[in-house]
Amino acid sequence: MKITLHVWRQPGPQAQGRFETYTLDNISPHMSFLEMLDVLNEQLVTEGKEPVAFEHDCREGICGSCGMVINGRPHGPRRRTTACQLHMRMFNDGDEIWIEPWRARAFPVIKDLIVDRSAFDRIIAAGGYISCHTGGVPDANAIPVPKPAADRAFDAAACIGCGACVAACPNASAMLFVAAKIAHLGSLPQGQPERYRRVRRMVAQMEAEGFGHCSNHYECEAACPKGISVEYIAQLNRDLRRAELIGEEVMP
Amino acid sequence: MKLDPKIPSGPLEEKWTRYRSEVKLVSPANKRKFKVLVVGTGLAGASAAATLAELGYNVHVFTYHDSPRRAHSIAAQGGINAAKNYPNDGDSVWRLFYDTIKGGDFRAREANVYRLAEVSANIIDQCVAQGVPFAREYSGYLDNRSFGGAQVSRTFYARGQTGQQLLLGAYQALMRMVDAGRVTLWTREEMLDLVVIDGHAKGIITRNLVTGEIRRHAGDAVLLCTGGYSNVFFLSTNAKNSNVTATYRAYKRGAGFANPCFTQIHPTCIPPSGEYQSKLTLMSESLRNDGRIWVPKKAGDKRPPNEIPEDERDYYLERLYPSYGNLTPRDIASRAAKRVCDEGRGVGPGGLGVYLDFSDAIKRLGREVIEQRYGNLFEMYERITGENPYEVPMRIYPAPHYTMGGLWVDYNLMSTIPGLHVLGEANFSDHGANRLGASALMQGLADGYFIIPYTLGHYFASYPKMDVTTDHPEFQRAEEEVRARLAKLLSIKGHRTVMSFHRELGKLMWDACGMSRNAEGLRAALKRIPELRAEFWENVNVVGSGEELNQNLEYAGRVADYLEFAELMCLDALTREESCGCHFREEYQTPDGEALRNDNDFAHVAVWEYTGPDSPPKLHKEPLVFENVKLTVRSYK
Amino acid sequence: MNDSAMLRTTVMQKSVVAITGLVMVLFLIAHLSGNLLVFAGPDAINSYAAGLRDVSALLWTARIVLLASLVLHVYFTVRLRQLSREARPIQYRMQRYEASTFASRTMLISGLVIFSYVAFHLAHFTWGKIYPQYYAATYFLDGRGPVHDVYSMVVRSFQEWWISALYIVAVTFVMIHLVHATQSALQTLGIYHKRYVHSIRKASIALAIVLWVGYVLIPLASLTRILKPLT
Repeated sequence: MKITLHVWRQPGPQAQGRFETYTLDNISPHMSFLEMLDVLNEQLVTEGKEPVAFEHDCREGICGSCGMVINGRPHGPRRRTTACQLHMRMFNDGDEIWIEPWRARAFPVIKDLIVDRSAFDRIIAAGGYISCHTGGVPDANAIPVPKPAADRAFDAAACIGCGACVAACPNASAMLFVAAKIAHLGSLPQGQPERYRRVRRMVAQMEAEGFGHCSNHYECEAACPKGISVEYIAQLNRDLRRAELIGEEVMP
Repeated sequence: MKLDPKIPSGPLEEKWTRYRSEVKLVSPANKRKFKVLVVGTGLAGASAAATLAELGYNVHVFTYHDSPRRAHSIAAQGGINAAKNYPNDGDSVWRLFYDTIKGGDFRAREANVYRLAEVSANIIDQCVAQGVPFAREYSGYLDNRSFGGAQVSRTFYARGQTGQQLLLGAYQALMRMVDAGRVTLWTREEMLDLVVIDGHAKGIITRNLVTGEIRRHAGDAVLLCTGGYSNVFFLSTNAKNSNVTATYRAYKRGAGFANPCFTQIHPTCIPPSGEYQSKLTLMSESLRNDGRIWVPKKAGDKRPPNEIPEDERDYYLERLYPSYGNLTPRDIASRAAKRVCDEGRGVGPGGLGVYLDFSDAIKRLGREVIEQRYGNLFEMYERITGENPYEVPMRIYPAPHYTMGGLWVDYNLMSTIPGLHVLGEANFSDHGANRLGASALMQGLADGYFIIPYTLGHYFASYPKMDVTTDHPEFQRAEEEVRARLAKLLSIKGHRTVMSFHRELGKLMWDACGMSRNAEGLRAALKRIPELRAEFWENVNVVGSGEELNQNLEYAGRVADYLEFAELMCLDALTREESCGCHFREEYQTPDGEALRNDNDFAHVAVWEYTGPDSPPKLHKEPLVFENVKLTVRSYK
Repeated sequence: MNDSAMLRTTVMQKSVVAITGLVMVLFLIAHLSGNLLVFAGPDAINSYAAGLRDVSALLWTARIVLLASLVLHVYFTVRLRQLSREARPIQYRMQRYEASTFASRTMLISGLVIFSYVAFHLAHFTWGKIYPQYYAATYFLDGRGPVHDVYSMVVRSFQEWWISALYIVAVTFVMIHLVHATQSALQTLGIYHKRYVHSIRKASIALAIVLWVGYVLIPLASLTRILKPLT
């Protein structure tokens, strides 16, 4: 396959960025998208040019490192697929492909396609946990968890923290990411004692980071490589309203 | 180098309890005066950092990722073992201990493995309390499944993403401590050297991956939780950035490296599809329950699988191991696949693959049953290969997956350098020569949550506190060395890319020190590796500068270390003149091709000491004493 | 307007937008029900209008609630939109949408068009500033006497083609707004269930269309002389 790439190149956080165009011949349709970028980078290094900086690690769709907007879609055209699991057979010979970093004030570009997603870590640090000390916990089977609750918690906990939801949202909102953690912990009996405190603190941090608001476009859900549902945003809305109107006490 | 495993006295069952009662403590008021540097934020690192911070230590955590949550523990699929005996099927701490030590082909330390089995139950309690969404039955109680190498169901799991959920639990506990101001988190900060002062590990040198700034960090202890080195093979199931640098640098500063040749090859991975292949993806081993493995009888048979008649297929596992058939253990299945591919009978691109055929199972059970059992795996396979495994046989091939070898540690998880502790896959671990499924997660969390919190305090209380600052000449020296190395890498400006060296090294290692090894191949590799390394230092091309985000430079440093480490691996493999677990020396096999262990000469841990750039490493042996189990031979015929 | 502590987050501000929006949706339904009485003849609609004025306390309460809703709705929407614009300072070179709709992405524009039209609409039918002569007509209601002739005012006004055209355009914007609005408000209020969500989203669109048809019928009937003014 022959393809033409338009890649966002930006030397540093403060630098001006622009699109550079590259042409690659002999791309195998069996290559993953990131392997195609490897080929490009090998070519650039051989020419003594700086390779395209992009984040990646596990290359099996679970670490959440990779992420780039490919032809207008976070992680590219295939649904429920991370960029690392996207393969070139999704494209045609002669295609032009535009590659851009996540665009959000809360995710400033560090270099080329790499953005700073530490805002997510700070949101988790604000309350995305159950405050139990190591040791001093009851036997694992002392707390039965109804299977549907455990399944729901798992569905929400499948979030890989890649940031595609923010990238896809017309408002650059992080609601799906935050809601997934709220729903994960809030669906379990272990998460109840801190449920309302957690939602207040996490939402406050989310807002402080400069993400946009949620106006229910549902682009996040469509872009999420793990198919996290906007159902959890509804839960966040409920929990936060309850916390703000009534307080953080656990209601019977 | 003195190897004192410091195993507590007394009967096996009482060692850990006794240790905990007798261990020296640090008073709560004094804990915050001790600064602990934790490198790596996988299961071992995150759990250790969170727990030590809760106890009151001043913890600094380092990761080269943008977030602690990216560590490769996240990719573990199957589950985590624990001797809970919830299914009431006869499990016990003893059984988990025995299965693990036997699975490791009797090359692990009894006391450590027993302790691991003992604390396994606490791990599950801890994770459930953190909100890890383990699979449940309709009763609301935890579900278990069985896994390889065990006759009981003791594996806890969260769908096929157990590692992810456990890591998120540990990560969240860590972030709670970051928020409380008790952990200082250094992201995108890669450790490039260890600083040893007066014989104790007292600090590290790091490079900030965004600005290129070289920093000195002084502390009272260093914990390496930096994972394994399967990427020495270039193609492995490890994440692309996983590397040996942290442990190898520690080795060069005096830490003994144990059993480097013990590397596990997993039989069911998606094969490489071409020269551009960057990594391999694991497929659950459970597929072998219903799939039949075969290759064409004729070498070089290029017909599509459906056109090859039954009598021209070789179901080689069923032929060679009639009683176990397709369910032979990992090492056997992997070696057999390699053998048929070496004979030119491999299938798919490059002839690196064997068929895993479900057509008989589909005929027998119906497509629906197969879909229920393996639907998600089939989908994953389809996503990567573009082939529909319901219609054409899957192609699989073994891939490097886990490294049992690592830095030598005593019962306290302390290396031969006092103060340098090593946790998780990075240490030479409790898995001996072969790790059982669902045991890696168990070990990482056991080390971090339940072992190091006791043993680290013991170290602090055992020595007078020595406060050093980063002005110490040793810091100066280490930093200068790091800078010089980076400058050298950037100055070569040769003609080959870093990746081309890594690929070549990987191929070399795979052929000589992969699934099966022999003296001739290892000697050839030991000759070739220094040549390749010399070429690297003359002809590599690293672009950009050191004062910016430069992934090419990061990669070059890691490959440079692999080029040295590979030699150590081959040397260890050559020296261990026996076959055991995943280490298969072709010269040492039974007439029917089974591993031939030599307990008289090799029931020991091989620990290598660095003696300088131009002299060979020195071998030390820690004898393995088995007082509680009888050494037996595994057979699968 | 100061942020009270309770409304400091965008999530809570969005809740205000949702609640005030739903109040206005209810008003649109009630308003249409009343308006459709025009097809029942002058007696029906004029006595309904007179009846409304009789319960002036109720009427004024409703008017105040509506006005407050409108002001809060617009205020918070504009503010939130401003915030979100800042949340993405650099736009994508290429962006493809998959789940969002034309309606959802144009809420601010459609809302502001409706807002301006409402001012005109009030000036026209409530304050009688556009065609004062139509507004001034009276009607003799049996058993009650002379009342304001709403029927003639409506029909005569709509027979001015530009009044009808403007009205239909405005009602179309209302429809576009509502295609996204109702279900979005329910989502914001946290009403979501896997089993019902698709029905709710469809019902939301259906409501928008039904309201559009209802509202458009009156000018169309007037223009086509199906509804005739009283001579």
